Amino acid sequence: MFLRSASVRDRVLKNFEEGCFISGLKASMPIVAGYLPIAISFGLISVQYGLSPYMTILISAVIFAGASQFVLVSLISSGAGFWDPLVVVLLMNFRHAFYGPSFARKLSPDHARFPRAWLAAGLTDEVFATSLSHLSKVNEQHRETWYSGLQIGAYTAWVVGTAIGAISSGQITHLPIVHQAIHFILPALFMALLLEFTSRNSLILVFVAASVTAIMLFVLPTYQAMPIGMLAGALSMSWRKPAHG
Amino acid sequence: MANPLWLIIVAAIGTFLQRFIPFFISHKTGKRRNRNSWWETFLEGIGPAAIASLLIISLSSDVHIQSTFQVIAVLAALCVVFLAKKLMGGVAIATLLGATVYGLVCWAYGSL
Repeated sequence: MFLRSASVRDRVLKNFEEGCFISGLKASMPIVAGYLPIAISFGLISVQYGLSPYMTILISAVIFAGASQFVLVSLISSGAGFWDPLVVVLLMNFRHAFYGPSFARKLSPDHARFPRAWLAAGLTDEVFATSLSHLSKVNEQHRETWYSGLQIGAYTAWVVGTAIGAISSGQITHLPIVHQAIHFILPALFMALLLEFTSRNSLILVFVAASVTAIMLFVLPTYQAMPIGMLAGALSMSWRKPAHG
Repeated sequence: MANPLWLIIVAAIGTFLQRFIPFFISHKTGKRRNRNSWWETFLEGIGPAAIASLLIISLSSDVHIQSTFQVIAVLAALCVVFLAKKLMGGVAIATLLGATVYGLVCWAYGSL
């Protein structure tokens, strides 16, 4: 009887975990909608730059970092050597280094279920932003399962989209409305996440981050303007809320 | 470059380590955190600050504002995202409605 009830309990727990995974997968749908057109564009451009479809899909599968991939293929095609493209890619993705510590605060070390390397691998801008806005609503025990669903959804869309673009090589046609609408998916996603995230306390932080980013865009490339704006916003919060400990 | 395979592999490892090392260190020191420290307050602000910066970056790079109509399309779409989020609550539906409104306004302008 004890064994039977234990097995039923395990099955219920397993189903609940699976429910969390599916819930994370569902939460990735806005990211999927944003990633697919960009990944298809990346696949098309990379093949047009002269890289093979195999190499193009490999870039998306192992790097998984949007804008830096576009720059990487353009530098490779222009004949840049080894170090210049490498340094540019790493500088562009440097902002991701700040996501890990912020994301780790949402996970309980007591409920670690997956290797840390697995969780860190998919920590892109969109996955980070979506997970931070949703994770507090997920039971602490199941957060890693939920997050795994989220990052698998985003990663699959990125790699599949790249494959579609690389293999179809420009044969894709778009409906005019869809063609226009896809340009606004990511701004709409970030706007919705901002509304989800922002409380009255963080309004000044949001204003500082947005203003500094906008001003920096006049003088710096996007990959430098973004981390400067982000750091300025976060610093404005720490200055206003001095440490007590 | 004849074969960029090594460049791709090293760039992938570097990108992964930039995500992994700070996350791993924070996880390891998780139980020793001082919730009131300056660093914790800073980390609390990183999320909303990153999203605000990404919104500005995506508006400047994904949307090419070349005419008054595109400004109207952007403002209308942002208003729809705001209203949908406030009235319906979900991120997905607000995102898709905002993008659809932007597409419709741009398409309507193009067909005038």
